Amino acid sequence: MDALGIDLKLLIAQAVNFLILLFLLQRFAYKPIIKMLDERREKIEKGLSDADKAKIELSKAEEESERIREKAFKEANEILENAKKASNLKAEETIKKAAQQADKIRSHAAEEALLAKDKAMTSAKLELSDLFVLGLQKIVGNELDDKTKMELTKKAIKEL
Amino acid sequence: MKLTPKIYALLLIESLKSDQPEKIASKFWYLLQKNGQYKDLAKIINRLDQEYASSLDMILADVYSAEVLDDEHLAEIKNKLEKRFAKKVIIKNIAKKRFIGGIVVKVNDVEIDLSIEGKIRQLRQSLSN
Repeated sequence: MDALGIDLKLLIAQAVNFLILLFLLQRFAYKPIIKMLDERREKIEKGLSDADKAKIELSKAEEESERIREKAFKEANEILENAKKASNLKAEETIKKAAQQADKIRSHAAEEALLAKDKAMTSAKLELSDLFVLGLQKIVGNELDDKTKMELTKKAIKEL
Repeated sequence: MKLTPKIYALLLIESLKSDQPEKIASKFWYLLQKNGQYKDLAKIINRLDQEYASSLDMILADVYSAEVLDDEHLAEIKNKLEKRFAKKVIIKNIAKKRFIGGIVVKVNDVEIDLSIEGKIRQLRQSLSN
């Protein structure tokens, strides 16, 4: 060993030193670093997993949102359609009522006109007949002498 | 309480049949005064004839004509009415100067209009219908 220039004691001392250093590194450096790296890896993995989950959640939320939007749109359409139908029905009903009212007014007016016509006719007839009777009474009353009047009375007694 | 002319007429007729006519007659005047119905006297007298005839189971016929009718015509009317109503009839002839001709006979609520005015009225009615 001496011939090779190796000092056995130094070698042993260096080996012991190396082992001590290795032990110390193993004990105080490698393990914490590896642990830290593991933790870091886990964190990253968890982060990635969370990101994936979030992505999936986001996708689900987007789907849900889309579904809700479609549903809302559908419901809004239905409401609109119903409102249109109701509005149409109401409009039809209003038109029907207005038509009925118009018919009633027309019929009433026709009746009124007929009544007015009848009234006018009756009044005219009455006036004419009054005039006629007045004339007749004057003519008959003035023209008949007592003898004729008595004849009329006798005739009435026979009719009794 | 006001009474109808018929009630007054019946009261007077009762007085004619009663033993104490004065008492009933005074009651009649008392009621007339109490009820303030002197103005109804004409109606009561008119009704009296009718009720009197009725009390004798006869009917009173008012005959309206232009002139007062002679007995012959009145008898003819009486006969006809007695046949028609199957009762004895008392005739009351009333002359109405406004009459042109013919007669009107009133028996209770029945009126038989055979006057010229009636015929003209009928004519007017048929003209106005």
